[in-house]
Amino acid sequence: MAWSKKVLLAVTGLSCALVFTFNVVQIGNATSNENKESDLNFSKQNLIEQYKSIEKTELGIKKYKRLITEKNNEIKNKKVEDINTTITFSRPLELKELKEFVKKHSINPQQFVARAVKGDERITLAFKPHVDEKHVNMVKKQLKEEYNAEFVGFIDMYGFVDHEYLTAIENDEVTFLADTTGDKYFLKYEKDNGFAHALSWLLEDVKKEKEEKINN
Amino acid sequence: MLKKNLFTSPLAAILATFVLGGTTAAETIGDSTSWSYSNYNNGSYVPRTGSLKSYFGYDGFYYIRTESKFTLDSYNVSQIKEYNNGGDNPGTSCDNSAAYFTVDMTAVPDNSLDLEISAYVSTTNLPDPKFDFETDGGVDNQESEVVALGTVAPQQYFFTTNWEDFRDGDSGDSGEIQLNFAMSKKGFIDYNNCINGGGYRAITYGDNLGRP
Repeated sequence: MAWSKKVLLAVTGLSCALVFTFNVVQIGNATSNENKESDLNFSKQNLIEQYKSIEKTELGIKKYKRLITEKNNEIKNKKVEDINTTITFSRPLELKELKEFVKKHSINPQQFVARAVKGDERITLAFKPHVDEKHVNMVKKQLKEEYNAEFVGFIDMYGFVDHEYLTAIENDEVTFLADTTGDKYFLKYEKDNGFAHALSWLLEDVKKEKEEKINN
Repeated sequence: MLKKNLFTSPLAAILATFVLGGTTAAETIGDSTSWSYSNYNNGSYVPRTGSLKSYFGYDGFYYIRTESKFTLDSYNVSQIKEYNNGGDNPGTSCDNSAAYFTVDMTAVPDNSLDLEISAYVSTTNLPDPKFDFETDGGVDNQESEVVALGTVAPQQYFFTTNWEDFRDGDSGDSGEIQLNFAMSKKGFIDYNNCINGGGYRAITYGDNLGRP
């Protein structure tokens, strides 16, 4: 099996494992103080610092996911509309699945991100949301012909979501994390609000490192 | 600004086959440029060697593909890592903030009121990239940008932008694609370049649909 396929399977596995682990941890900590994460930077000044502060381990991702779930609950309770939301998928999606996901959850999409691989090398693509099959098919051919790379699927997206749809997105089986902390609700003191960075690259790194440790 | 849908029909495919020669997937090579700087005067983060090329084609729709390949050497990498760490960054800009290697391609039409091409996908092998399509005054995107949040290595990278081609031959439909390297900080969708203009390159395109 090619490394690229191993990584994809591994990332999907990691995502599922983290989803499972997270749920278990949440239930286990329901009455404890451990839900309050104090080691992550939420200075509300810089989304890059927030992303960079995530510990690059399964536990670190689990902690971040727990924190974001708390933040999502807060923004849902405030009934915020058009929330800047970053959605990291639990597995790569085909364009058709992606479009169905967007429609099902009434998301106003701003950008779709896809993964391609060339051996051990990761190639990332960002699409404007109006793209259809002809655009994606053209890019698949381009990847093959120009870079000898294989298109894998869509791994995360950015869009605007109303509070009433957020819970369904969080609970969707293809969602690894819906992160709303780029919204101006959380960035009151930053002029240009934006989107939190998706976790796809980080998930891939963590899983690869874990695999290498096992193999060594 | 009016998008032309005249060429999305089967007739367009036939026409494209005739005009572009043989296959609807054929590409015509357009303007290109390359560089090989002998020093780092354009910025310590600016790759000293690279190229910017353009391709024009039809594959169910008309498109323009602009591709830059560039090599970061070990000095570039060491300097970019210094920027990534924040604090006292190289030079006098970007101090006290972590800054990240940034590449952008900007379409600048000769008729500034009517941009007839529009970016729809960007592709790169840069590590942990964050992309942005910036629109200026209409529905056509003018800028395609990528910021590398991951740790760069001494190797060749590429950044490619595909543009939908809506040109209809009017004078001023022509323009140029400008390539720029920068270091940027803050934000996620709207990055602020704290050092800009390093290693600026440009290639041109003409007025006519599907043609260089």
